[in-house]
This record gives sequence, structure tokens and C-alpha cells, in this order.
Amino acid sequence: MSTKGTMRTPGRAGDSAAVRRHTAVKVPQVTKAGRARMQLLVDPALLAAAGEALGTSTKSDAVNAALRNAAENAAILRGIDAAVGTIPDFPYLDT
Amino acid sequence: MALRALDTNGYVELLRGSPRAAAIRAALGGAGTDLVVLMPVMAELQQGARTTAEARALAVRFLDPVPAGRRVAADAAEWVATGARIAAMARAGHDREELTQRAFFLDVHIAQVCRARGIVLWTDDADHARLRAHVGHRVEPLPR
Repeated sequence: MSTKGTMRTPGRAGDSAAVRRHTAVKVPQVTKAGRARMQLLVDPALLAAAGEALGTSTKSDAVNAALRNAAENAAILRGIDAAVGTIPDFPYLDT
Repeated sequence: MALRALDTNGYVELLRGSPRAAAIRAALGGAGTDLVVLMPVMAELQQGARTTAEARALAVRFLDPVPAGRRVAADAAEWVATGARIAAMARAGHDREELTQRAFFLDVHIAQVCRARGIVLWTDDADHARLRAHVGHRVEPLPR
């Protein structure tokens, strides 16, 4: 494969391969949906499992759905944590 | 896995910081994306607020962070089913005075929505134990 127009980025220790950055062709960095193109190292088995569990049709959708779920769960739990013990005499009102 | 929701008494335990609050918090965290929030429960909590500051705090902490897809509100069929269920209970000889109480009506409504959507309700409300015979929803006690 020709390497013309590309630039190798040294890989970190433990990475299986160095990252090859394109320098000749400028690709869109952000899609209309607000997604940014980036390169990530992902565990393929986890990605496949997440895609199946989340019912997503693409790898990008699986990653985004998993990230969205994690962020939403964290926000919900932060709200709950902030509420614990804050109204010690809250009435039950026959609930 | 089944969806899970916390009944009003569970949120009250959290607000009061009772000894069970930590166990309830842990269960909510463990539910992950199966955790949903019942809007009738949010209504009951709002009804208990004694000041506008308390009402605002309840909304900010328990509702605002919850995405729309995880807020459960009855659809048209579930509202109709709630009324039909109460009528059936009245015909079956259930205490009519109890059926007309606001809190009990909401319990029937919550039970109906949980049954329709397969939601497991965490609650210590004895009414739900009795309602199971009529509605058939799934109930588990508040975590300890």
C-alpha cells in the first residue's frame, strides 16, 4: 500500500499498531449529527456485545449509545446523591 | 432484564437520609439503564413539598437529569385501563371509600402502568401488596 500522503504517528508502548494520519485528504471532522471523526482503540468483543445489547446497527451507533447511557446514568445518580438526607422531615402524605 | 422504578416511599427514604438510603441508592445504581422514573411518583413527591424551594429541589434532583425516554407517563390506553380497573375492583366488592381516595387511585394507576410496561416496582407500600391480586404487577420491597 502506498504511504504517500500519510504520516506515521509513533504508537505508545502497548499499542498494537502505530496510527497513520492522512495528510493529503482532508476529511470532515464533524458530521451533520454533531459527531466528530476520531480514531479510538476499542475492544472489539466489548463493541460487538454492546451493539447486540443496545440493538444498534453500526459500530458508531453502538459506541454513541453506550456513551449516552453512561452519561445519563451518571447524571441521574448524581441527582439522587445530591438529594440524600436533604429534607429529613419530608412528609409521606399516605404514599 | 425488566425495567425498574422506585415508588414514592423510596424517594422519601432518600430525602430523609434514612438508614435504608444507602441500600436504595446502591440498587438504583445497579439497575443501570433499566431504571425508569414514574411520573405519578414525581407528582406525589411534588404534592409533599412544603415550600417552592423544596419543590424546585425535588425537580432538579429527581427529574431534570432523567432523559425523556426514561420518564414513564401513562398513555391513553393506560389511563382508560386505570379507570376500568378501579371499576372492576368496585364491582368485586372492594371498599368504595378507599377506591375514591386520591392516594389509592394513584397507587392503582402506578400498578396499572407498571403491569402494562413490565416494570418492577420497588415499594414498601402495603397497598401494592394488596393490589397485586387485582392488577398483577411485579413488586419488590425497598432494598435494605
